[in-house]
Formats: sequence, C-alpha cells, structure tokens
Amino acid sequence: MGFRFLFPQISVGPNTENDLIQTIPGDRLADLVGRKSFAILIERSVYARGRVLSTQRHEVAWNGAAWSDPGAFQFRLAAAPAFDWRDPANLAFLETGISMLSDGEFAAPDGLAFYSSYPAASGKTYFSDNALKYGERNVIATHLRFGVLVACYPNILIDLDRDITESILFLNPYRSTVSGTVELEGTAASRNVAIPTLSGLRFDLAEMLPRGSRAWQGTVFVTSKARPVLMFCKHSAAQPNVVTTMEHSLAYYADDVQVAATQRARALFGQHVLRRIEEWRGRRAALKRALAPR
Amino acid sequence: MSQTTNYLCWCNGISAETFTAAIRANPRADLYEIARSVNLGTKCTSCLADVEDLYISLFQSAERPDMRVPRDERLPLRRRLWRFIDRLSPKVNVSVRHLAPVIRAPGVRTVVSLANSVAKKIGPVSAQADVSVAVRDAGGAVRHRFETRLRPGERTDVVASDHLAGAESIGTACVSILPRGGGVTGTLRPHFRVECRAAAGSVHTQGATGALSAFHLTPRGAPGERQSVFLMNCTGRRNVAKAVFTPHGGPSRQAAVPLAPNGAAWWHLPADGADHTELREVVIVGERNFKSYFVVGTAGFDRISLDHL
Repeated sequence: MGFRFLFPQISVGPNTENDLIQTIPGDRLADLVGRKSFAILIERSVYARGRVLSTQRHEVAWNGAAWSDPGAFQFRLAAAPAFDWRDPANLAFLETGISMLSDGEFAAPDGLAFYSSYPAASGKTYFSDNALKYGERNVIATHLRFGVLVACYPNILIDLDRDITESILFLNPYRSTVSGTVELEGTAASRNVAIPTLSGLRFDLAEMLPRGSRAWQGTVFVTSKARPVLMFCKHSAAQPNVVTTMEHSLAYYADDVQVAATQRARALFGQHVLRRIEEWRGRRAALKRALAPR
Repeated sequence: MSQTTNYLCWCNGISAETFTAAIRANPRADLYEIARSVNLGTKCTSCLADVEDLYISLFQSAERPDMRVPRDERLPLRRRLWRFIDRLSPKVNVSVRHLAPVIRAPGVRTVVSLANSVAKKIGPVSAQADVSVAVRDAGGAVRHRFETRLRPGERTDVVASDHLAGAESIGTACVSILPRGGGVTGTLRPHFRVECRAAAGSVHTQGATGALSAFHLTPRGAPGERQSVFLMNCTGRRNVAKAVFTPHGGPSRQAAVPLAPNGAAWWHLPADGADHTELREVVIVGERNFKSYFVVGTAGFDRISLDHL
C-alpha cells in the first residue's frame, strides 16, 4: 500500500526576533518510501495577510544511498520587521507539501512528523512541531463526535505583573474565511475570531481578562465548525516578539477511555515484543548513525 | 431533495459522488482545492470533517488506484475473529503513565498541571480519573506523593520543584492516570510549566515507557544561550546514556551520562558555532529506556523552554 503525496504541513513563520529554520528529515523520508531510487517534489509557500509571499519548488532524487540535493530539505526565513507580531495580522505561516514524481509511494500520508526551530540572534531559541493541514485523526474524530472542532490548551498562564501572557496563533491555510469561538474555562469570557483566507492572526488571551484583572490561569477552549490550525505561544506581554514556548493545540481527545480487555491484552503483548525488537534495532542504528564518518 | 441522496454538503447540495468524481478528474490536487472546485463546504463548513474522512477512506479503499496500491478489501479471517471476540469481551479502563522533568533554581519552579476541563459547547463528556504524582530527585528517591480524583471540570497544580532539596536541583515527576467508568479522554493529558521570574514555558508530558535513542537538530542560538538535554531514566535499574554532539562541519564529541534508577541528569551542550542559526546534531543512545527533553534557557535562566526530543 502507498500514497503519492504526504499531507501538507503548516509551520508558524518568524517574527522580528526569531528566524524560522525547517529541516525535513531526509533519511526518514527515504525510509518512508523504501525503494532503491525515486524522485520527489518539495513545494513550500509562505503566506501572510491573504497573499503568497514566496514559493519554492525543489525536485530531489534518492539513489539508494544519498539525496541529489540535501540542501533542499532545509528552509530558512529570516526575522524581519514585516513579521512584527505587535500587529496581530503580521503572523505568517509556511505550508510544505511533498509529492512523488517518479514510481513509488509513501507508506503513510502522515508518516513524517518533524519540527521547526526558531533561533534568535539576541534572544532565546524555541522549537515547535508542525501541524497537518488536514487528515489529523484527532481533529476528524472530534468533529465527527461533537459536530465541531473542540481544541484546547490546559496550561494557560497570564500574569501581566510578571510580563507573562499567552497568545493563540490562528493559521488559516484554506481558501475560505475560518471563524472560531475562544472561551476561558470557568469564566463568562467568550470571543469570536475570524481569520481571513491564507492568513494568520495572533490573538492575545490577555484581551479576555475581566476588567481590572491582571492574572489568570486555566484551560482555554477554541470551538469552530471549520478547522483552523492552532498554536499556543507564551511570550512577553510588553513585547510579543519575545517568545518563551510555542506548543501545538490539543484536539479534545474524543477516544473512549474503555477498550475491550482482549484488545488491551493484545496491545500489551505487542508492545512488549516490539520493545524487545527495538532494543536490538534502535541501539544499533542510532550508534551507527552517530559514529558514521562525515 | 431526496432523503436517500448521499449529500456531503447540505448547504450547496453537493453529493459524495460529485466529490469522488472531482478527485478522479484531478487526483493530484489539494483536498481543499477539490472541495472548492465543486462548491463543497463553502458556506457553513460543517461538512468538512465528513469531507476529510471520506477523502482518507478513499485512500484506504481501492477507490483511488493512482494514489494507493489496491488490496483485497475483505478483512482477513483472523482480524474478523478478533473483532468478534473484542465485541464480546468486557471493557477495561486503560491507565497511562507520563514523565515530566522538574527543575529547581533561584527564581525557577516547575509546576505539573492536571486538568479535566469541560468545554461549554460539548458539556462534561470526559471520564473522571484517579491521578497520582510521584516527585523524585535526581537519584530516583521519592520526595513527594500526591493523589487525587479529577472529576469533569476540575483541575489541580502540583508545584513539583518545591519538593526537591537544595537551591539548584533537578528531578522527575511521574504522573499516573487511571480513568474511572466511561467517557472520553478529554483534556487529561498532563502538562507542566517552568516558571521564571518574568517568563513561563510550558509543554505536555510524555509517556513513561521511553525509548533507547533520541535525535535532535538544534541551532546554535544567541551568545550565552544555555542548551541542555534533560534525561530521565524510565527503568528501575542503572542506566547510561551515551550522548554524541556534532557541530556543523566539526568533529563529534561524546559523553557518557550515568542515570540512577528512576533518576534524572542533564547534559549541557558545548556553545560551539559562529552563527546563531548554525545547526548542530545531538544523538542520545541509552543502555536502557530513557525519556529526554531539550532545555533552552537564556544566560541568567530568566526565560526557559523545554521541548520533547
């Protein structure tokens, strides 16, 4: 079984302090195809404010041992004033698509998870997972079970006296406007947010604090009939370009907590066997890679 | 409209057949391009989940022969037999164990955050759960135990670093969750925060099973930036993690990091590199299973973030 392309991945763009570096793991990509030779197309586009800021296309071939152009797996976008997060609409995002050009298939359309790095010349580096543009099983399960996307982040901390706040980064890589509702658990605060097509929007949760309140901690929920890509970003309240962490959202897990006892027993047995196999394979492969001559 | 019509989009009256025909006509197009081309999901958008589900299921059937190698759609006898047995089997709750790193330093504390939150839109559909947190020091000794039952709508924070000794120390927090009764998993995945004087970083915990290796690519970062790998032993036996650091274009350096049973240690990366964007490679290989986080802090530790490897 195989797939001709991987589901597109979405990464948050840089700001004025932090660059964006995306590195696609070429060796894992080759493992995902498992053929002696094949060629792929990597397409990357950067979007903000409804416009395409740049597009790159790279054709790369695998000959069984090496890639023809390993540099194509890396993408860099430098920090710039155009990405100043003090304006919430200056949030850019990168869409990365990978498709097969030759014979061959990818083993799974969502089988290549990787992350992006955000180094700063004078601030602090942070990292972030990418998000799938579509095909995210938790998102689909939540939509099917509840009729809406219910995304959440249970670890929000806002303390304006300590310069700590948190923003939701809404990314809309789709061709129609996406709207959603933000609510802070246990409060009456609720806000509707609309994100225009091919745009990003930074929504500072401090805007939802009751008048006179300077601090809040708890869970934030975002509900939407559509499927915005969401990231949660802890940053300085005074200077939103100074970021501490960026985390993917948590689709409200719609899995049942109970499973059949027989199914559970099989899973435990399978995990035990896999762990033993992994002990042999993983240790040897990682050591070989670490000590390979460069 | 006929009741038997297989509509995907009721706003625009677009059928599943129209959608699948559009895919066949343009098999390499983006899902949302296809949907838009047939005016699907452009009004209320509530059908987009069904559209995605159908799209993925088309991959999994032989419906898109250009996208997927066809296979016999009929389930093998063994799988059908297991399905039948599973249907008759009693149900059990599945417990999970997670690990979180704990850092204690002047002005720095680590808080494990547990939430069984309820969204107004869907109500209290999540299961209640028995939660326990064991805080251990770097040597693996238990310093604190906390147990509670979280009902839908409840949350609790455990300041794990308060239970470690010394001005600067590290440890782990092991979180066990056992759901009670039925319901869905909801927001029960634990998170932790590392709070500094004027900043806070947060990330989710990871399963405590661990792995034998971890790999990370990290940029050099600003001068003075402190980058470390936080290692947690997932076993009750002594463990050694072999860490290999390779700066861009430079020779590899190795270190052996001993880990006490159920203990923790961190390994500080050398501050090599000319440019803040220069990528360096970190590979960790354990003798036994371990879990690791990548720690990045400013020189004075006034801003710290942790990311899982």
